[in-house]
Amino acid sequence: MIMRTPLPPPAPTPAPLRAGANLLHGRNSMGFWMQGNMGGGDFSHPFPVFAGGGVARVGKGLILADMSVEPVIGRVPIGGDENNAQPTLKIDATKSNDKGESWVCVEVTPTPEGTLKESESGTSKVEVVQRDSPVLTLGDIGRWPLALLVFREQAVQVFQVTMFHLHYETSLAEGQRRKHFFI
Amino acid sequence: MSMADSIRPSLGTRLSENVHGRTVDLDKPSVWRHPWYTTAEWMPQRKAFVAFVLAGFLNGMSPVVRTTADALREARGTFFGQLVDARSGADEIAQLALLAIGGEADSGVSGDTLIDVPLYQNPPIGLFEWRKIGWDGASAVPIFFQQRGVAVPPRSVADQLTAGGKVALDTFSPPQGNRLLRACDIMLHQPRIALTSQIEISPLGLATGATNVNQTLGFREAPSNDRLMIQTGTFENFEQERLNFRSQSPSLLASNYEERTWDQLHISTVWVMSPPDVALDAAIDSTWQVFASHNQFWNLAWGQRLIEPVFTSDIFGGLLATVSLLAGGAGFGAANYIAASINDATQSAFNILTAQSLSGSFWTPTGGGTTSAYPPTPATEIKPGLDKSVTAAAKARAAQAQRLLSLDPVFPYEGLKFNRSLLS
Repeated sequence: MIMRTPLPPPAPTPAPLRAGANLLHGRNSMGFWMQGNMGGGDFSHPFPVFAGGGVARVGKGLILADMSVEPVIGRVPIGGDENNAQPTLKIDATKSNDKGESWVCVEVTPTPEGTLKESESGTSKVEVVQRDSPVLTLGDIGRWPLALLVFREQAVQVFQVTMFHLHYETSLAEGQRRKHFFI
Repeated sequence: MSMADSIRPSLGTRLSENVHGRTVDLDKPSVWRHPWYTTAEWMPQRKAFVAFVLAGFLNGMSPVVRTTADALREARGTFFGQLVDARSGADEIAQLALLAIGGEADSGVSGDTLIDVPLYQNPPIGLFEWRKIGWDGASAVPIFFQQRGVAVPPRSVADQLTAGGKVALDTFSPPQGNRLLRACDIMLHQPRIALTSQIEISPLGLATGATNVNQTLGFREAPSNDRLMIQTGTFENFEQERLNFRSQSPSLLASNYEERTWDQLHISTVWVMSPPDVALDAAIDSTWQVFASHNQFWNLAWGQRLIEPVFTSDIFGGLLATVSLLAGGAGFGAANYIAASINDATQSAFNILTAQSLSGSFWTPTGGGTTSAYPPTPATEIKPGLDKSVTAAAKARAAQAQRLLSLDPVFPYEGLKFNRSLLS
């Protein structure tokens, strides 16, 4: 026969609240607070993409070429600037392919000389857009994916593709279309 | 009611209560997992180990895992709850969703139907072709496993006799406590257009009296059902094969040559290690321990010199009907050379093939720097005393030794360098 020792009665409410694992507990005249760091499992990197509510946000990241350029959404740098909050990119499930996939991409249009610096012959453009295919390596525009969006009935799932700043190189041999590489 | 009474646990926290009061715990932050992070587990329904690979991307595309409807049915409920919510419209995704939830539509799919599941849906990856390593295998055993009891293969009797020594008794029986080791590689398979070469040899040229060799280069496309996918088995280092190609070159004139229509990259390896002292022919079962080692840690890019679907050439229209060489100029088409000797002809054919190979290359877009090969820790003599710098150096050396004993390198890992010839 097993004898069980009865548990003592529960403590009268409100029971004291204590900080357990990974938490700090503090009190002041306004009440109490608990502080912890939940972000330890993440990897902080450039170009983080967050999506929801029909829009996407892209954290700061740079396209490195003859000059470092922060891509824009509209005309605002993806991380925002002194006068503008961080911009949002409207995302649309109808822009996805037949598998429900689309990509938040960075698109680079260099000057005719293949630079990102403005010149007399033209200006360059580096912007973040939503596309139904991830890569463009030939032509006037180069494209590289930052994240994959998978649309579902009620939500969108984000898979991060780019985790570094991107080095951009382009070349144009005579009689050929311009080539774009993100390295 | 006080504020303390209304406390509820939120995301990542736990609230527990005992006689001493209530305690709030914050779940320990999980370790960040890199793309292609591989795990494996025993699947009782299949009586086999299956692998799972964390979503990784090549040029932003997710590779697929080609599997059967039966395998998905057996794994139902264990991995792909997301699929139930998958947007309808795409046949294969809808099919997966139906398989996931079962029901009447499920019965309409035969068990051997092949289904391509995107890697980001976390499908189970069957591991079938295990190669033997260790006592009953031919390959070298990593130190990591030697330290866990996997014996290195014995030297053959012939080798021992050649070396002039006595034949050791342990040649014939494994050492006590020996564990068996099996490995299966997980690879990324990228289809591509390949180079073909046809050789015609005219016995005698009318004008020269020497042998006349025509070499015609062309293209071959990958099969239509081939796509970017995950494959398992034993990784073959095609790069090494290309280096060895020169030794095979005499066969170039004997037959037509065709490149492979795919590129392959080693992602990771799943290892299983037996309990000690099992029979040499023991089958893999749930008592074996499973490990994974990684070769790739970041999302990848891939490029090929030839990419553009373009124009045709008047002269070589038949060859260039669907594609044209993007880089490398006008090297494509046909070559016609007069061979002073067969060796000359072979060398010419070889040179043309190596110059025009259409094999692609992989790289890791890291913003320019692609290596994390740190300089080795300088050796320092440990002296008795309380010298902090010596203690720190000893700790660093111990950490370095520990790294050598693990299957994976330490963060931030190493990337693949960009092949700059793609720019030309």
